[in-house]
Parts: sequence; C-alpha cells; structure tokens
Amino acid sequence: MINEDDFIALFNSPTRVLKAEKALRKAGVACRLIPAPRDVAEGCALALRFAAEEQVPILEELGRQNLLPRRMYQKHAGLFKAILVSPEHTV
Amino acid sequence: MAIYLDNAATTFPKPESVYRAVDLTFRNLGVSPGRGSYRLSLEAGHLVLGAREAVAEFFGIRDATRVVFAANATEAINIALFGLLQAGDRVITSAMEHNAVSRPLHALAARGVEVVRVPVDACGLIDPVLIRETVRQGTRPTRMVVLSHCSNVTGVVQPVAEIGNWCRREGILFMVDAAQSAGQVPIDVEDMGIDLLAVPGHKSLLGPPGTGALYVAEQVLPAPLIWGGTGGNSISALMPEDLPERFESGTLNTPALAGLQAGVEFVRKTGLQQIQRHKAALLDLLLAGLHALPGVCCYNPSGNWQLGGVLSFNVEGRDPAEIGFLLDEEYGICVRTGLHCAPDAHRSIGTLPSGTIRVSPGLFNTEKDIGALLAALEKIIC
Repeated sequence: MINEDDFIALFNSPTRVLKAEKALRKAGVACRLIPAPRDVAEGCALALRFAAEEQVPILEELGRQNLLPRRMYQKHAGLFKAILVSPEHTV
Repeated sequence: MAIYLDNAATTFPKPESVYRAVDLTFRNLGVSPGRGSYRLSLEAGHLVLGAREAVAEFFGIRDATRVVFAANATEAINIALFGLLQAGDRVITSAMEHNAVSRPLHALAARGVEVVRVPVDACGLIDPVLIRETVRQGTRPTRMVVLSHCSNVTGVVQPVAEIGNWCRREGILFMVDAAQSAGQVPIDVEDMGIDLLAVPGHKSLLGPPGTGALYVAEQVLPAPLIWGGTGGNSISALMPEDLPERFESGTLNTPALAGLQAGVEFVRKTGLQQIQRHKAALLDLLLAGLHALPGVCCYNPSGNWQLGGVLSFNVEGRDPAEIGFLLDEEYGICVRTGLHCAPDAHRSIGTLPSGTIRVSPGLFNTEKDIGALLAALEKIIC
C-alpha cells in the first residue's frame, strides 16, 4: 500500500482530506487516498499518499488552498518518520 | 391533479434533475460517504463535497468546510443557538420570528439566557435603529442578534445587510434564519456580515426534504448538539473541532445531498431574478384578483412586497381554516392556513389566534393555477 520513501499526509477531517485530493487532482499532481496505516492513524482515518518527488508541488498547492495537513510522514526502512506534526499533536 | 400553492412550506414538485440525481445516487452510490477508504465511499464523499461547495458558492462562503449539512433549517438553527448561547448571555431577536427560532430561544431563556424581542412595524419590518438602541440599552453586552431574513407569513424582507454589518463592527454575532429567502433573495454572507446562516435545502433551493445547512464563520465554534462518530480520529473520546465533522455525526444522506446540489444548480442556472420575476407576476395577479373580491384583507408589506414569495390574506367573517378546507376539498387547491408556526409574526400583524390563508406559488406554478384559485375563492366567498 505504501512504498519505501513514499509520503503520507493526514488531515484529521474526512472533508479536508477529500478537498485536498480534489484540489491536487485539479492541479494535476499525482496522489492517492488510502486508509491511514495503524502506526499513525489514531483511529480510522484517510491519508493522502504521494511519492517523494511530489512533496514540493503538493505542499505548495495545499498551502495555496489553505489545506496543509496536520501530520505528514515518510516511510523509511518500513517505519513512518514524522516530517510535519501540527501543534495540537505535540502536546 | 392538485394545484399546489404551499411552496413556502416546501417546494413541490422539484426539477427533473433533482429527482434524477437522487435516484441515480441512491442506486449507484448508496454507501457511507467518505467514511470508508474504498473507492465507492471516496466517490460518495466527493459527491457530498461537491454539494457542500455548491452551497458555499451560492452564498458567497469562501471555505466550503464551514458549511455543515443538517436535516433542515430548524436543525441548523438549533445547532447554532444551543451551541453558542449560555446562561448570562444576551440575545436580541424580533417579534416576527418562526418557531424554529422562537422556541429554542424560549428554552434557552429558561436556562438563563436573556432574550430580548424587538417589535416590528405593522408590515412586520424591523427597524435597524431599534436593534442598535436595544443593544445599547442592555445592562450587559449582547452576544448575538438572530433574525429571519424573510417572513413566512407576510414575505417581508428584513434589512439584514445593514444590521449584519453593524453587528460585525460591534463584535456581535449575527445569525440569519434564511428559511424563506435562500434560493429566492440574494444572500452573500460576507456582504451581509452574517456569522451564522441557516438554510433549508428543500424550499427555494429545490432540494429534497431532509436537507438543510448551517454556515459557521471562521473563529466561531459552537458546542456540538449531537455527539457520535465522525469518520476520523476515532480513538479520541472528544468531538473534533474541525468543521463540518464536529456537527455531522452519523451517516449523511448522500442521495438527498446529490438532489440538493442539483437543486442549487437549477436555481443558479435559472437565476434569482428570473425566479423572482415569475413569482412576482403570479403574486401580482393574485393580489389584483383578491382586491376584486368582497371583504378580503391582504397582509402584504409595502414596497417590493412580492420578493418574499408569499401572500397572506383573510376574508371578513370567515375562518381561514374553513376556506383552506373548502379549497382543498372542493377544488383540489393546496394552500396553508392558520399560524404557519409563527405565532409571534401573527401577533405582530394582528392575526392571532386564527391566522391567515397563505398562498405561496412555486417556480412551476402558472397563471392558470392562480386563475383557478381566484375562481374557487369567488365561489366560496360570494
């Protein structure tokens, strides 16, 4: 489901993640909605999966849409390394 | 075939595109929208998002996630009022409100909320000066002003933009019950200074029953009215702060929301001006015909009175309920009689307790329908 070096982004809101996917699709950037893996899901959630080379255009587009993810991880050696964690998840 | 003239209660019939959207979605996409991660669920989720965006665009709402779907305007109003007002808060409303606003406020008053109702003129119109004076006369700050945009009894349209923009400058929450105006009178939440907008999907937006929406401005976060599953962060015992999920526990009615989107699209393509023109022509015809009948008293406000899409009247010495019964029983004509769930409005225009006969044509009514109503009334009255 998630290849090595792939990114996954979580939004904590089904509506926001769908909106993000729609915006990215419209912008022509490759991504896919998947069930968030249990290591990071905090319960059932959807995640946006994309390849490492798409990270910059995706974050740029999501920033433009005011839809930045709450958390973002990259898969390394089978583990999910936190790249971005919004303040409410650090407390 | 009955002649339906009760479109202020709910519009009927709907455009063909609405029936088709509901049927198509129910048959092909009747899954839980956006809660599962399988493709059908995502497709249904995108459909609901599309409906949300259509509603947002229609009312000038920049962020579609601030549009919360509800079963109707009443539920939307309840979410906002019970979610925001607490004991010790002061709220100002008017003497023209529907029970959808009046009853929640009555219940909140019993919990310690101070509810102040400003009077209206003989036509039911609110004077913005009176709102400002009432705010200033309070011994404590006013938390919210809540008003109906358009009366379901007289059709009077309130000066919400003037009141809303003043409230915004004063830091007072401004909530509008747009049950009668959404899809009929232009509404832009930014231009009108609206923080909370409650709309029904099934009236002039032409969607199916069981649809409605609440717009909640950024920085406004009501407590939820219903607690439950929201499709994300399930491990948390708390409701999310994110909108719309905070207020949308349980499975949404995807087929109905597809119908709502089709309804909004139909209204958008037809244009509010064209809709107003059509209804105004029918109401003008009705008013002229009623004036020619003996003992008829109409309650239309002055000015651009047709904008609200309804005309209330009474016949001297006759019970409105009896006339409504005869119209249905002998002529197959559906009108609404009585208090229209708005006793405060009837008290204000002097028609309590028997109410009025209310005629509300829809987009698909014709001059022939009005002619049939006038002919039937002539036989009943004369």
